[in-house]
Amino acid sequence: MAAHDAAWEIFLTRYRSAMYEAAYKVAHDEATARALADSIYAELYGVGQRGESHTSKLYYYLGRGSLAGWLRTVVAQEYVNQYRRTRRETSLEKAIEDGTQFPAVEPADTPPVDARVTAATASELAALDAQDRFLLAAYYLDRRTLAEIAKLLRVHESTISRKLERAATGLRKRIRKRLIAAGMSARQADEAMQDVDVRDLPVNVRKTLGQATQEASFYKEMGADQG
Amino acid sequence: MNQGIPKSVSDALANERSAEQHPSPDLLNGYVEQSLSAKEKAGVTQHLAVCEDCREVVFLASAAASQPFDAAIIEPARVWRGWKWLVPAVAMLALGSSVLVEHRNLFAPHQIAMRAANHQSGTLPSQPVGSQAATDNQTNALMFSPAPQATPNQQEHIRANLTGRNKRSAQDEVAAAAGAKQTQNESREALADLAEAAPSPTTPSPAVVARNAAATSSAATAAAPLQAAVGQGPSARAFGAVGQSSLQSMKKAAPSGISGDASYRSLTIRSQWRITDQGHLERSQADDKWTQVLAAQPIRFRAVAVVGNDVWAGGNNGALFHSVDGGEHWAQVVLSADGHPETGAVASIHFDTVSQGSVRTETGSTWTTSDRGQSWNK
Repeated sequence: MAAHDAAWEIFLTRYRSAMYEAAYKVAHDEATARALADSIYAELYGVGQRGESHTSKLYYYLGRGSLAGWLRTVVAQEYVNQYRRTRRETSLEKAIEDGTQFPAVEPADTPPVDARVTAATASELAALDAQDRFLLAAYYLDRRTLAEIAKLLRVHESTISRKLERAATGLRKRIRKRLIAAGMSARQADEAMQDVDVRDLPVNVRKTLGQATQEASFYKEMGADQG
Repeated sequence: MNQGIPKSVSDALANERSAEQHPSPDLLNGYVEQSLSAKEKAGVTQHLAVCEDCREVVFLASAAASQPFDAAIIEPARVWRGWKWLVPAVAMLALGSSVLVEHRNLFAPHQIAMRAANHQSGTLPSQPVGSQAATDNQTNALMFSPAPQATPNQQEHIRANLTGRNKRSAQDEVAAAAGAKQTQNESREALADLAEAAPSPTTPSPAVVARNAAATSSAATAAAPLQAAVGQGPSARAFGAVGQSSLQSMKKAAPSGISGDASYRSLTIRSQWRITDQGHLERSQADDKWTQVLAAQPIRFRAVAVVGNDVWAGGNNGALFHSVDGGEHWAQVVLSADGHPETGAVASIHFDTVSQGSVRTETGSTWTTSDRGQSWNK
């Protein structure tokens, strides 16, 4: 369903500059921002990549937030989609060009992780509050700054810092307790905790597992939107 | 990217893809703007905890927003605020009795001329305090409807006394309200008479016309000029409430407003303000829920500014609203010069301090004030 021309003109008048501004802030590059915004315009208008008409993306704006904010989110989502797609294609092309240089082999000197540590960490992570998991992932995995997290959640940086500290400390204590309950001595548990950074290892496992799932469905969803 | 896990694990995960759903941009934007319901927010948070892509989306969207929370003001601690007003409150208590005696007779229509003469000569007659309650409601009726024949000097005198009156203690107000019931009918008649005789809001004398946003009666409208004066004092937090045409409503509103109990609590709540794409003015407090403010006004708001407890909001047709209590009560401010009210939409509001600020309209006009909006210069 193509958009109504008059409504489209009004929309462009009001949000064109906001769209480009958002695209630039997301991409940090003028050319990429233009390309990003242009690709979204087509979806917003209801035209596919091959010129076919389909439902405008605006149809899915349900008004939970502002339209300007929704456009920023669409821009960000499109950027993440395109960025990851580009990165994957680049990686694949490079691998083909380089012949056999596929994934790097795990370093041989990496000590095997005790299954009890992995299990304890996975259990405690699963029991962790979603907000705390989000904070840990954003800070330790995504390397977001306290300021970025604080702005998103609209609280002070010190609040984020306190929550992170509390979540990480509590997680360590509970995992240590589980390890001892699983048969480790206190010393063994401490050594295991020292050898393996619980903020990295278990979350990395989770990240690795989760990445395949979410990335695939992310593409799938984006593909469905485009189709 | 999946090289770190065995193929069997990848295959198993692939089968779960269909079950994995990402939040829509609408939901993610609602999360960024904190406009989701608690249930929706919990669901999105759950997803964000395990989805790196969506985390990146919300952080990018949040970073792309150009300071959407400028209006958010972190209020000073309540303890400090309480002590801040304690000293003037105690001082006003000491002055209260003499001021009450003063303004009680001041507003009696048949004595206005005499009072003006006394004021000019610097003499203030006194009356026994015991008779205060019996006539207090008469004062209340008149304070919102200035006599049309009052001179500018008289109006200044009225303002001074009103400020003093509103700084009385809550106990005085309660006592006055109780005593006022005896002559309530008389006062209502007086209010009605004065409402008819009062000058229209376009009277040239007061440059600023304040009006309770919720009040639509002629009495409340006629009372506007003096409400603007009352609004100068911190104790006038409830002046929006006292704009009711019903005298009884005014009596009920006065004690709570002066004591500042309910209003005071509201001042300690950290509020955030925003204007939606539909032009609605909305406020969010600690519960992360946005509620529309001034919903009854047929205004498409364009700008909002917060300075301490003062909130200014402007919109189309030169509409400008002012709240001195963090948005609990509002008064409309009319921008006019030489009898010509501003008709251009308010495009921006900027206040450097509580009293000094400027308002710019879509038509290019800039209005400035240095007295908290009492008077404006174009």
